[in-house]
Amino acid sequence: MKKRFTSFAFENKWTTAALLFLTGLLIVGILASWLHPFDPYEPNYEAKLQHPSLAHPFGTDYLGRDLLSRVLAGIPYSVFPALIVLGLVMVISLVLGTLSGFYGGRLDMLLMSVADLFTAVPNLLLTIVIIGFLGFGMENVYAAILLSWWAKYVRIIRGLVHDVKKEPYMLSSRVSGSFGFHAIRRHVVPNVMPQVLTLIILDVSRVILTLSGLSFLGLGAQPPSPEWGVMLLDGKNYLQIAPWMGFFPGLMIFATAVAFQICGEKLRSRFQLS
Amino acid sequence: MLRYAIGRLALLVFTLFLLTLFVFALMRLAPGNPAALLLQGIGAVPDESLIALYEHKWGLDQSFVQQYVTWLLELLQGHLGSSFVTGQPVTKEIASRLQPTLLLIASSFIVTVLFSVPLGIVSAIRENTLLDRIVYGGSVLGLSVPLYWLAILLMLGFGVLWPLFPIIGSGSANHYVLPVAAISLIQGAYFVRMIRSFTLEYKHSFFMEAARARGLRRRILYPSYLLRSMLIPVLTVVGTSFSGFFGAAVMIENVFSFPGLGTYMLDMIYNRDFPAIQGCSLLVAAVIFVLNFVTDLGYYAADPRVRLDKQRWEL
Repeated sequence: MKKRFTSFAFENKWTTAALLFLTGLLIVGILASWLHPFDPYEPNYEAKLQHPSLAHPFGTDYLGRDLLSRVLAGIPYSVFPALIVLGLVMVISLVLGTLSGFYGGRLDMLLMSVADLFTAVPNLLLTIVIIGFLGFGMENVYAAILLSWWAKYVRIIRGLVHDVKKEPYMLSSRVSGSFGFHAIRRHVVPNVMPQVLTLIILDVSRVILTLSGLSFLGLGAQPPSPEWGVMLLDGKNYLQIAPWMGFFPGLMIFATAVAFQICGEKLRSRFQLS
Repeated sequence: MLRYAIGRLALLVFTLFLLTLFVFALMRLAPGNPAALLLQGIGAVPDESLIALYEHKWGLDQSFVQQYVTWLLELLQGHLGSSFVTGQPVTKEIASRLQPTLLLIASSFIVTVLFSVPLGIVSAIRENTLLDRIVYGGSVLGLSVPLYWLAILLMLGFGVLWPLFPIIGSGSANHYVLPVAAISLIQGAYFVRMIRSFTLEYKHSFFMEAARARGLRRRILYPSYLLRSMLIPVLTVVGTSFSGFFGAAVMIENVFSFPGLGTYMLDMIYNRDFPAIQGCSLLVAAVIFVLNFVTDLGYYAADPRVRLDKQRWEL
């Protein structure tokens, strides 16, 4: 396992760079409150709207807050939620999809018709309808994303489990006495995991873009938060005076999304998914 | 053909029906009393007796089923109710906002298809050349660019630093250049990505191998074998792209203060104007469902296997 990971990480310079960037992001995100040079929330009116300089590498915003500090403080608000939401999606759909694909029958039919309905409604529309009725705020955004993404994964996992079930090794495991839950745990889940993880990693960038996009529209995180979409919205309003205010948060979203996309593409070509 | 079309149509109507149920139920689930919200919308101070009076007047004290049936009957006659905020019929408000959005989506769609479909196919045919790598790299980058950031950069570059185009409103053709550019670049990346991988799949498939083995020249092989079979995936990507374009339009309209359906929808979400949100979302959903229906009919025309194949619906 260890060897396989190193060969994955260092085979290609792009993947190496992407993984290094994401590792750095994770560490800085966890240590955020100790690392940023200035207070990301405290206004400092004497230093407002300053150009990027040595003291403030990303410049300062209209309240004089250091943008670098805010961008770093924004990691836990902009990147981690996407991972958590997708992790939840994965757990839910792994349970439902495996049950549905492994046991089939009435449960399968019921689950699939519900999933069909959810996939028929486009993600964005569902998200907007849910937020429109239930109100703004991150909890509703998470709920909306969960509701609009689970169905796709349940269907995919069900399909994968269905294929695994037909493999000869499943028959031989059955012959040697492995049934039900034991078979699922030992043979089915380990064999669908690579594909599922690849798809999840490929979708991380989409979820990051959606989350910060909703915040940019004012539907998700709200102003004092250093969430990158919120900062970008501020940046848009100061576009003509202080273009760096929008540039750097956007660049961070872009870089993070690209890094996840590169890892996902690499995994995809490794596992031969289309 | 007719039977197939009727089957798809029945499914379409059923899904739309469930969607209305979902939207209606969500409105009832929403926090806050609708009558109180309505009264606030028209500027009255909601107190207990007034709320009770209006609940009765608007039928909010009836059972869920009764309310739903009344609402659905109204809907079938084309009445979406009146906006809580302005008091105007929602249908009228939507109609006045529809044209700029449709124009925006249609022009971005045309631009996107024109450059991305050929690019995706050519880059797959010339697999692993410099061109292919650039196109593939570009599409991976394009899939990760935040649309709103790209739009802001375009505004900054071609509206502020080098003021070629206006950055606010929708008055003239020039107003459309930057929004269309932003949407097409992002959607194009997605199109290229999908079409390239489908083309590669077909290029390496057995029927192409067999045709190559029979000594068919590229000039015959590519147009009449590869392109013919590409019709179906292209149809899929193009036919299901509306919701992507619509989502992009909502975002872009907001960035460019474009007076279309997207800005209207967001305003109504801020105002918690339920009838307007219902109207917009049902309209958009209906358009998407109808387009899916047309795409399905397109499959029927393009792919002889559809007539027998049930597997497609499981994908």
